[in-house]
Amino acid sequence: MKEKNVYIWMALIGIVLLFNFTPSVSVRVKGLFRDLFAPVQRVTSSCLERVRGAVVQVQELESYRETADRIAEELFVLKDRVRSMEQVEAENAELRRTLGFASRTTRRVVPCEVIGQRDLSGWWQMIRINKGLNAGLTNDLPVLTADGLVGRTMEVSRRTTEVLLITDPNCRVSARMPRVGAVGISRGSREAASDRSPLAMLHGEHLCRVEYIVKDADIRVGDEVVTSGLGEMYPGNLALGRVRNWSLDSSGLYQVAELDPAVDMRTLKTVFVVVK
Amino acid sequence: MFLGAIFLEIMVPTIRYLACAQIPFLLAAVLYYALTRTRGTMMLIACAAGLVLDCLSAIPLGYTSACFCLVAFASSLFRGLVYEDSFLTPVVFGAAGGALVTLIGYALIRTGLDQQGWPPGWVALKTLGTALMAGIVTPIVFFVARSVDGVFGSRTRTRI
Repeated sequence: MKEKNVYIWMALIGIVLLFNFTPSVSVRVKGLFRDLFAPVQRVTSSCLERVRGAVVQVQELESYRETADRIAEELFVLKDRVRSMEQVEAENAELRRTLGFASRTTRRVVPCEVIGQRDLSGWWQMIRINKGLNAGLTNDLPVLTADGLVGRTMEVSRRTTEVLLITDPNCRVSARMPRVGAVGISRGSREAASDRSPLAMLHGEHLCRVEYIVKDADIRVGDEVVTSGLGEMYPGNLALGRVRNWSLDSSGLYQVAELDPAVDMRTLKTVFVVVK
Repeated sequence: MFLGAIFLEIMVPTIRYLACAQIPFLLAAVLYYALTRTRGTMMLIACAAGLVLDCLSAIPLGYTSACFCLVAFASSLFRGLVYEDSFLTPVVFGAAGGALVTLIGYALIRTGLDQQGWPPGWVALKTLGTALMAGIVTPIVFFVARSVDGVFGSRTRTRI
């Protein structure tokens, strides 16, 4: 009986100690365990990826031809846009050279592999990447892909980092709609997209919403939303998503727009952390 | 079995339409130990399981350990009153344990963190989802754990 009591007291003391760890010690302990489990997560991530790939292949057998036609059309449009942008870039470079502006691309990026696709508890929208303090990463760095903004770094250990996604309500980003010039605050939305297949319900996509948009902004479905660059945490002009629908908020003073995120958070494999 | 539960917890995704409710393999393992082992062993397993979950998620250290210990201790109080071999026992204990862990964890997170809260409806759905998943998964984990115990001779099948 006394032995059992000893174990119970040990466990209780252990929990009290855990509660009273200072933040720095807490982060170190968590980092130690995360680094330990990182290889396991990498393996499970790749296994899941293969299973998901097989399921998706079965689902999309019918639509391959349509997809190929659509891609060919998009390629033609994109090539045209690239040609226009190259011309604008050349003019821009000439102007900057003439007026003596410093180059805007002073950012250094660190490529990282995604080893954990979700937060185990389900309370937050997060991923885990395979770089940490050893690679020069710190808290609150922007994370992005070629498609747009993914989120920001949150908890950094020696070899891994937690990234809070823009689809989490706790991740707020200053946003801008270039077509109408309106600004707002983007954050994750809890609502599920209703037009998804039953299989997708297991791992369906989360949405974003932009709040505090002025009431008279002429928003349309498909409008692009980008980061505004205000607040200095996120660089400007990074794609956040496209407007899916919009409405007045509960106060009636502002508009709220729901976005389809530019980045598909379910299929992230490689991301880039902007190291300032 | 403990390592297997950790592996499954990492691998199996949360369920989006149940407010990202997780499928609680580790909780099921903790409940099995709560009903079949000494209190000391049960508490140590609960602490370790909670610590692993806290380290692999954004929950502050110690929160899930506290939840697991509370639920395990509460379950162990009913040891002499239930048939551990019955199908209903793990279903009921799993569902109740899943709901309790979610609610207590939410209460701890809300008081401890300076962040945007979660809507009550979302929390309720998550609690219900976790309870449902725990009710389904716990009997399976109990069956596997009993079989493993039978193979290794850790305990005989008797009424506790």
